[in-house]
Amino acid sequence: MTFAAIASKVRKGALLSHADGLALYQHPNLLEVGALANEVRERLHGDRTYFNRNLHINPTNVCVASCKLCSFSRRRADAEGAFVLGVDEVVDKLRARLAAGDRVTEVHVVGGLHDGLPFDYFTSLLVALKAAAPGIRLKAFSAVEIFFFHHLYGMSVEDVLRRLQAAGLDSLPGGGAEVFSSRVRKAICPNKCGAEEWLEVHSIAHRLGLKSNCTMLFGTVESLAERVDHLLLLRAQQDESGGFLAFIPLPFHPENNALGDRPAPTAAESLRTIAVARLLLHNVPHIKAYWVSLGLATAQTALWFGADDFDGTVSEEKIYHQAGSLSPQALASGEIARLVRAAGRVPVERDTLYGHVPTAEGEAV
Amino acid sequence: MKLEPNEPKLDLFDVGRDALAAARAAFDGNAFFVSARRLQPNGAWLGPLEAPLAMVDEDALADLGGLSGARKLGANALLCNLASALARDAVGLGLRCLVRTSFASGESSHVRRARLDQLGELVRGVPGIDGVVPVPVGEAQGLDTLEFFAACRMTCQLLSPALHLLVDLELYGHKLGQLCLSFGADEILGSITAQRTLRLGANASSNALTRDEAALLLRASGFTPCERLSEGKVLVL
Repeated sequence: MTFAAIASKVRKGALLSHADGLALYQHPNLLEVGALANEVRERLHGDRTYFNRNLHINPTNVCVASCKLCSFSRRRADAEGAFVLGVDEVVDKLRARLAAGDRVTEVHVVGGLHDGLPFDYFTSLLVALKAAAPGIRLKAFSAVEIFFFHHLYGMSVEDVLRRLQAAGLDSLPGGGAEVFSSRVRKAICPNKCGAEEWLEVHSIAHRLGLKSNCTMLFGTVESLAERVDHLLLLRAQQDESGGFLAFIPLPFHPENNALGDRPAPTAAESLRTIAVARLLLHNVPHIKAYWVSLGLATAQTALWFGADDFDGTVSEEKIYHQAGSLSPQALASGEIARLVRAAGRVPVERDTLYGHVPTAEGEAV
Repeated sequence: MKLEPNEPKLDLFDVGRDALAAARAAFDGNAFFVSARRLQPNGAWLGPLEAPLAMVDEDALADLGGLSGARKLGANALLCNLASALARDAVGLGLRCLVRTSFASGESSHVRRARLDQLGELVRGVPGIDGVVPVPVGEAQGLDTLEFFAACRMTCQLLSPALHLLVDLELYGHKLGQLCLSFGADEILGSITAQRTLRLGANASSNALTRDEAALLLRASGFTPCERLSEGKVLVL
C-alpha cells in the first residue's frame, strides 16, 4: 500500500489495516506521516488542545511484579526507598494543593502491587479524597492493579470495580498495557496480567459506566508489527465497549531499571508513534502528548503530529522521573497554556471527561 | 515568532518538507555528528578532551589573547558572531568557522528576516565559512525552534548548499535536537563519548551521548550517519 493510498483511505474515513499501520511506521519521511495525522487531529479538534489540573499520587511503590522496565518499584516493604503512604498523608497532599489555591479537578492514583495491604486501604483512600474535595474526579488504579486486587482479595473484577466505584472511583487510568504481545510481556513484565485480562478489566469498567484511558509503552523489545497489533487491539476493544477517552503513547525511559542498556526511543520515534496512533485509532477521541515522558519541546511539537491533549499540571510525578525523565515535576496551568499557545494551538482546560472548565488560562471552546 | 499583520501563517509541514529536502540534497542523504569541546575565557576546556572539534567563541577571545592565543591552546574552530570581524582571519588560519545565529521566541518575523539577511552578508563576504549554529535566546520552544531551523536551511541553500546547519545538543537536548534534523539541520555537535555517561546526581541532566546514540539520532531521522574525526576526516557509519 502506497502512502498516497493510505492518505486517501484516511481522508475517506476508511479503516486502516495492519499493513497500513506498518507502512506508516516504515515510511521514510516523518513529516508526511505527521502531516496526515495532523489533518485528522484538526478535523476532530481544530486548534483546541486540552489540559487539566491534576495531582498524581502514588500510594505505594512496593510491588510484587518486578517488571524489568520499572525504575519506581521496590520488591519488599522493608527495602531501602520503599514506602506506603497513610490515607491521611495522601489526603494531605490534595489539601495542600487546594489550600494553595489550585483548583485541582482530578486526582490520578496509581501504585505498586503491594500484597500486604487490605482492600479497605484503597476504598478508604478514595472515600477520604472525595470527602476532602467532593467535586473532584478520582482516576485511580490501572487495570493491572484492578486485576491484582481481584486475585489478592478473591473478588471478581466486577466486584472490585463496583466496590471502588461505590467508594468514589470515577475512571481508570490507562497504565500497565505496555505492549500486548505475550512475547514482549514475557520479556519485560512477566508477572503482570496479560493483554486479555487488561482489556477485560477495561471492558467491564466501561460496562459499569466508568470511562478510562489506554496506553502503549513503546521502545523496549517490541517490533513495529507488535506495536501495530497493540493499537489494533485497542481499536477493537473501543469498538466493543467504547469507553476509552484518550490514548497515551509512553516512550520507554531506560535509567535505573533492568533494561537500562537499551537506548530510549528517539523524539522522532515518539512523534511517529503519536501520529500512527492518531491515524489507526479513529474511534478514540483524544491522543495525549504526556509532557512528563516526552519532554516539553517534544510534547509541544506533538500537538502538530496528532496529539490534542497536553495532559495536566501533574505535580509529584515519580514513576517517570525515577526512570530518568528530565521534564519538570509539575507545570502550573498558566505555563501549560503558554506552551500550548507558543505551539500555535488554543489551550482549553478540561475535566476528566473532557468537559470544558472555564478558566483564565484556558480559552472558551 | 510573531508574524507581521497580513502575513500568512507558516505551514509547519511545508517549511519542514522543503528544508529537509534541501538538507538531504546538499549532503546526499548524509548527516554528521561531531564531539565538541569548548574553550573557556579562562583557558580551560569544557567537554571531552579527545573531541575533534575544539571550539572557541568569538566573545571569549579577548581574554585568550585573540585567535592566535586560542590556537595555541588547541582551538581549531571559531564560533563567530553575525557581525564578526574575525571570520575571515579564522578561515585564513584554517579554523573551521561557524556562525552563531540567535533567535528568540516571540520576536517578529521582520527581526528574524533581518538577522538572516545579516547572515547572508557575512557568508557572501567571507568564503569558507562552513556552518551556521542557531542559538536560542532564553528557552528554546519546540515549534519555534523547528521553524527557525527550516528558515536557516533555506537561507543556507540560497547562499551555499554546502553550508552545514548545526544543532548544539547542549542547547536543545537530544529530543528537540533530533527533531531539528527533520527541519533542515544536517549536523549535531555535543559531548559525544565512547562510553555512556552516568546520569546521576549533579550529572543527571547531562546531554552527553555515546557515538552509537549519536548515530542512532541521525539514522532514525532518515540520514546516513557520518562521524567527523580529527584533521577533517569523516567516517561514514
